[in-house]
Amino acid sequence: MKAFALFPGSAIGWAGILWIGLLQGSAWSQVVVTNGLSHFQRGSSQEVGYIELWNPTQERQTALLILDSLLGPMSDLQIASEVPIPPETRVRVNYRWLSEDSSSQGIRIFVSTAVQAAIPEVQAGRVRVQIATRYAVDLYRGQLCEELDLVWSDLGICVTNQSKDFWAGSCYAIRNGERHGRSLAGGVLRPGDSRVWQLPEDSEGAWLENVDGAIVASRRP
Amino acid sequence: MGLSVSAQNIDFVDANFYIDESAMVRAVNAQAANLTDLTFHIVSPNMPGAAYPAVASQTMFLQYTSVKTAAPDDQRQITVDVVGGDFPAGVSLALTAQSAGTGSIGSGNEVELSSGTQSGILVNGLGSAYSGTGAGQGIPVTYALNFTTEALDASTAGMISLQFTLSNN
Repeated sequence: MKAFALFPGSAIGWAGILWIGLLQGSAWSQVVVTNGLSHFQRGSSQEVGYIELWNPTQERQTALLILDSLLGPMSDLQIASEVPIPPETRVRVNYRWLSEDSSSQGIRIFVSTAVQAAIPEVQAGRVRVQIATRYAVDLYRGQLCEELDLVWSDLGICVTNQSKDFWAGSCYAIRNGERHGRSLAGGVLRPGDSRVWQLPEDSEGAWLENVDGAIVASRRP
Repeated sequence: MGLSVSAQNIDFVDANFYIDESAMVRAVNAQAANLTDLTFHIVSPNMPGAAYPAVASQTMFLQYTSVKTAAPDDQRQITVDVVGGDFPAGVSLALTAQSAGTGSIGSGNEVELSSGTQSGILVNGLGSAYSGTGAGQGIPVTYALNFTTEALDASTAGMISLQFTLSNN
């Protein structure tokens, strides 16, 4: 049985993070993201979605959410910056794209778990490395394109998205003229993004398939 | 001749499977205890004329569970970012990760952090995989402090905050 608690989004933003002072990310990210690290919403309307977080521990935890831009302005997204989560409970942290916008947009939400920790002193001649972990949940709004520019090089295949929309999908090797095996690379290419993906030397080419099943393929020169 | 009719009532039961698209990671020491910091001490040599000796490297482990979903969240990576503090003069920190675990464990990389380089990809191509929770299990990340004696300044100490981020590739 799953227990859900709903938290409406708020636009507290950075200021809401800063007032808590000594709260900082934990080395053990107790809070867990359970509905994926990449969310895609098509269309330009004021759409809503949620990030599902789970506190698997026996203690109450506080999740901190910090926004960063992947593409375009961050002010168009409303989401809570701090979310208390009871023990062994899942919560849905709602987000809302505030305005209609037909341009492609991307926002990264860093999710970490707050802990109370004093700032340690460091003596001369010592280097102290503080360690913390977090998750990045990428939110995209826009349309998907089907076309990519493909150029072979010694390093692999260079994949460039020249369109104004996102490309999202996976790259496979071609063997016997067909898609072969599991995905070798993939992800979201923002407008203008370019990546080089390596393929096995004995593969015949690259098979790129977006999430709608549109295929772009290229044989090795 | 009799007519035999056989009737069978079948109840269809929907079986719904809900699989969390998990993303879990924690930093631990060699004994699998939670780790929050590491300290390196740059000590002077015991022979006049000698260069400062190298500082022993230290290793931590990133224990993780990752269950991927459909593209584009079908491959994940672990990055490291300097989110606070300054490197002391003449000092850099090399982090080397080796992929480990069961499943699609991806591949590990080396990242050298300094005042000029503040981030890098430690592990990429992570799919559905898990590391185990015991001592010595997880992705070993070795920290090596690099410096040259002539570039050091003893008046500088360093507190560096690193964030390890599990994200979509």
